[in-house]
Amino acid sequence: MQPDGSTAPGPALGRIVAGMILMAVGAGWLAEAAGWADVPWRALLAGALILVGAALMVGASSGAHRGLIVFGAFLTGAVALSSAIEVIADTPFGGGIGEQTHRPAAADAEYRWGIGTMTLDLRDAEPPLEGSSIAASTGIGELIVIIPRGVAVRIEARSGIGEVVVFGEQRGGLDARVEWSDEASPHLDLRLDVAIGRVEVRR
Amino acid sequence: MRRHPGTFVSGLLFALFGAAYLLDLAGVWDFRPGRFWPVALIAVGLTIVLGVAARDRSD
Repeated sequence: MQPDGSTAPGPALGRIVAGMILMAVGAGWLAEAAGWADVPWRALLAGALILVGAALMVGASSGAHRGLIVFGAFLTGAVALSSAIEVIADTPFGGGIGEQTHRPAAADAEYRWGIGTMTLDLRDAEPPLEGSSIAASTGIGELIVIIPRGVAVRIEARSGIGEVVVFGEQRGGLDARVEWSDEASPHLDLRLDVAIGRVEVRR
Repeated sequence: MRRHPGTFVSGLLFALFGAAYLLDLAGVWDFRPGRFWPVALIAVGLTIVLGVAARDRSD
């Protein structure tokens, strides 16, 4: 009980929350190091944010808890960036700088570009393209893929920070993703990644 | 909440954001934070309203 009649632990609240988060991180780290489990760190981060939020709601009667609010804001930023960072970490930055255009005669290949614009024009590729798969990425810049009309595609396109446009369907911001699958099968599978920048797929 | 509405609303926002992100990770809901920026305006308004209500009660 506080002198003013409130019962919440006041500044101790932040220490309790920090202790609980440290214990969870330590337990997760131990479990991973020992090979007991594959810890979903991004889910743990979101769980920590929920814990901080709940603690602030409970503790609002006992104090302003500014330190905990700052910690919550930091966690919010970390949660928002974590998915973008995953895409950025998955995307190779090698390959070259500037503009590059590929007009492959066959599918089933990987195309990587570092910085700039890479265009992958599949209109001259030998049919049938269905049943093949293509992976393409650009580190920083733009990735443009042109698909021949009438080819059924299944597309997973991601941009860590930027924009993705697949046949006019547009997503932007952090961890922008568009998944597209034509009804007809078999498909031409496309996995398209840009760490920072834009992905565009058109026919 | 009575004395620190800003703290309460901040906590509510953090908890909602964390829960929405967990639902996104679980594949239950396609959470796009960019769409929800007006929530910040609602939060500021809610903080002001709760602050006024708390002051009226304490007078």
